[in-house]
Amino acid sequence: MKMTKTLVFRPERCLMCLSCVLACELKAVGMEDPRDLDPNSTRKAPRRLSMALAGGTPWPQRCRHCAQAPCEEACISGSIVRDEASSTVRHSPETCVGCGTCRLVCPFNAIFRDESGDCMTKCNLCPDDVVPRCVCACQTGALTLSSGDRQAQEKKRSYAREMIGGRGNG
Amino acid sequence: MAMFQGGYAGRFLYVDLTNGSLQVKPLERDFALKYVGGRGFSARILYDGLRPGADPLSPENLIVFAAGPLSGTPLPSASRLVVAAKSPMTGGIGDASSGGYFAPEMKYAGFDAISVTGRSPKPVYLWIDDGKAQLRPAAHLWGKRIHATSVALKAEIGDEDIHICAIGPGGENLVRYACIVTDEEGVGARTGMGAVMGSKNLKAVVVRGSQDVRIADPDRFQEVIDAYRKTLEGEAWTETLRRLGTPNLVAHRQKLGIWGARNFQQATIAEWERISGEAFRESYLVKAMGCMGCMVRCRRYSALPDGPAETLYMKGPEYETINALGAKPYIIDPAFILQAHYLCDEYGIDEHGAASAISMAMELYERGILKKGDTDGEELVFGNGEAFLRLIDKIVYRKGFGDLLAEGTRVMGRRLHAEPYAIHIKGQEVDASDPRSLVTRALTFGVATRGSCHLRGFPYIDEFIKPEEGLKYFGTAAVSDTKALEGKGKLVAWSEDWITIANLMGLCIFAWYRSRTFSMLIHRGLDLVREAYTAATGLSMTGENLLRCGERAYNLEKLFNLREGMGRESDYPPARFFDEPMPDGPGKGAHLDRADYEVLLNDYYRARGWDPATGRPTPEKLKELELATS
Amino acid sequence: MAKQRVGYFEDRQDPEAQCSRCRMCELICAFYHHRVGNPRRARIRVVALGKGADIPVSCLNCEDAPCMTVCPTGALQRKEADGMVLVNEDVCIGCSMCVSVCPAGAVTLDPVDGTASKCDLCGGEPRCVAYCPAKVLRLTDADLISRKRMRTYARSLVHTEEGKPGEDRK
Repeated sequence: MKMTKTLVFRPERCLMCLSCVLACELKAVGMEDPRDLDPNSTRKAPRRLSMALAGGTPWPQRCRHCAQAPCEEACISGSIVRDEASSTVRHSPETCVGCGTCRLVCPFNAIFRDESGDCMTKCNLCPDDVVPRCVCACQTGALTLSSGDRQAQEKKRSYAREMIGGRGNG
Repeated sequence: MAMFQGGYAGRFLYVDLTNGSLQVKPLERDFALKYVGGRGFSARILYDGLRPGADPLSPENLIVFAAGPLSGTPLPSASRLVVAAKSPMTGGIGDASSGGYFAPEMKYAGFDAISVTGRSPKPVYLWIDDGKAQLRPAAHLWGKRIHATSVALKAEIGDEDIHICAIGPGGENLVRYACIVTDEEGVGARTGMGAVMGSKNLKAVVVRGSQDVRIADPDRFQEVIDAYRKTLEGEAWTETLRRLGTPNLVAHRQKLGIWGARNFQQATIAEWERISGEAFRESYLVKAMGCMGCMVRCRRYSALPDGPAETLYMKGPEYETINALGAKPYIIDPAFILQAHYLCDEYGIDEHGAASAISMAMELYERGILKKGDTDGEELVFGNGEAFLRLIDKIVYRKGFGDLLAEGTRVMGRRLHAEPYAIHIKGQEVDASDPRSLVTRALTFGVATRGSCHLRGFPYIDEFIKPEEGLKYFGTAAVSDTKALEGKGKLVAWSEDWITIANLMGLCIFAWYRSRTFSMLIHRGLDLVREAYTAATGLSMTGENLLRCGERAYNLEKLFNLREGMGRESDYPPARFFDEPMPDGPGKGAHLDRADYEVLLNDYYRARGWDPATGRPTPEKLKELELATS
Repeated sequence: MAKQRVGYFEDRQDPEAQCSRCRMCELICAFYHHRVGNPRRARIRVVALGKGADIPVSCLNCEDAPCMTVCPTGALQRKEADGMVLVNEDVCIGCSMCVSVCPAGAVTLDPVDGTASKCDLCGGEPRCVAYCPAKVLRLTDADLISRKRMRTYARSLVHTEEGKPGEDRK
């Protein structure tokens, strides 16, 4: 069994600078440098990643790559498949028919139509990049790539530290 | 379709550090049934993979990290790792055993054993993450002590929950008795395995895994867990271990008068209570700790004040720590013992190796054989703790007199023409106790395949076995008489095969292979272990077959040693034990008798089915054990 | 009635009544639930903080459980009003929202099943409690924990040295 690869978000480190959102959008339109964006363009790139405020706390809205993804189950063309090796739910634009059923069943509103309107799009966790663009862009370490139970383990550590009042036996 | 229903991961990893290749090979079912795991796997791999005469510190040597079929299962105390190679101390089979969490995690990472050969051109560490192995640069770790290595690795990998088997500067500098350390605590101390890793430029093996260790028959396995737990209820031995750890043996050594104090020149220690289990518990113990799944929890965790504001925390001490660092150099000071222990573990050198070398030097100094000019100006008398601490540093970094001390007592004996003062067997220092007054121990230490070892067999059986049990299992009631010679050969041979089972399975000897009741030895060590093996793996196993597997591994080790030219002459305790009577205590005047030892050794060889003249397993015995030797 | 959880009770004065990091709780938990050896599938994990501080951490059974609140499918529910929060594996989609919000890191995604994994009190007789060799794990609740802490604190006020007044009131 593999250790899953997951995006981990630490809200206490997030400045809401939206660099992650920008990086994801640039990738979507095939650009590297934001200065190449045409301010007069009417192109509307779908937001595969957006930042929201949930009760005052920053929260990244994106595909969560569910282990038992409802979108995979719902897809009529077999274009959404969970890849265990990368622990991601991958959407293949080539075979997608744009029915939009996945968008309806996704609890996180993470799937959108692309520019053409004929195809869906969502976070694929940048399979052709070593590190997802949003993680690269984050300057504070609020968005990181983790694996397995590391996120839970870290929280157990902080909780345990608090439970002993920051003491050890020393 | 998996090869095994459970227990085994079913995979071996072969690493060649010279060319950086990593190969995974399946564990074959027949191989598993014959060699079981742990020392069985390593004995076979080493015998097949090495040619006689290979230099243990050369790229030719193989080092094997072996878990057992029960490692990683929920069976209590299935925590032990075997690390084996050709030993730089003895030139024969070497192995060290470490408790803790490494062997189970190796199984979760998907491997039953890892075999490493060659030498890496640059320092590396082996990283195994859920079935995937990788060699990573370790130049930035080279030179770091054990704790610093662990901190750096955890930061680099970005995870606290990794498990590490590392060497310190001792291993890097090829101190002959350098050790391996798992997770900063579990020392695989003896036979110089750390030096072998150092000679390969292998700084550490790091594992992490989330794979299941499957159990073929979970309901039956649960029954074994509960049956084992029941055996601990009210058992004096395990309760003492929990309370005092292995240091409980200090009182025992004093009572029988079997200390090897002052380099085996003194058998009792008047101020023994200063360094007893009670003393350490009273003044330094933080808490009892346990290896993976252990319900005994004999590990100690101690705190030593280090100046007015600092505290040093450390695992330990063990009894052997007190024996090595207290009794041998005659420094009867618990704070010193902890200080020296801390350093030895951080540097990664065997306490007995260092202490035996320094204590031998102390005796030579007191006898005028060594002078201040030889000892870098140290007044090297017994009791000189400050000199001892300075010399540890020099040993690790091979400075001045430390360079010779780092070679160990056998080499020191040769170079200084002082062999009578080197207390070793096959090149490994005598630990545990002075066997001059207890012949069964003497035989056990003498014949142990890895050099002097008190854990290769279980000689203490003759201290508690009942005459009728002796008759039943060993053909004579005389085995219950500690002074008698009759039947002791068979007793030692049986106890070796029996205890080897622990090292095959990955089980802790203290939790599974210790008791003061012979029937408990059979119940736990054979009956319950057999049940556990079958319930875990789905493979059938009898008690007799278990002993046979232990015997097989042991014979293979003996063949290895014979092939290296270690014959009958290597199975003897050192001359001091024959020629010099015990100077004091309840055993005063006792010494080993040469004629008696011949009787014992012949009896042992006969019981083992070995040629009495050479100790070589006969063709009939090899056939019986299905050992192809090519 | 306060909701039950498995709690860690150590006695600093007794070297044998503290967590010894034997991890038998982890082993027996994973074995009970999945019939395998695999501590990463355990719902209780021992956190090693160094200097002799080893703390077993498992679900706190929060009164206002964030995991339940955030679950998009209703997979996390209590069966009784005061019961433990339980995972309905048939409904869980493995989105790991619960993993993200649990303050103690007590919920993980099972590496084999891909569904949320958390303490379920073994249906009422927690195995970790039964098998802990130090006997430092107990079925308890938040009220009991705070009462014990108050008692320990009160004792420390009364009891100063051995043989002094108040010692017999412990």
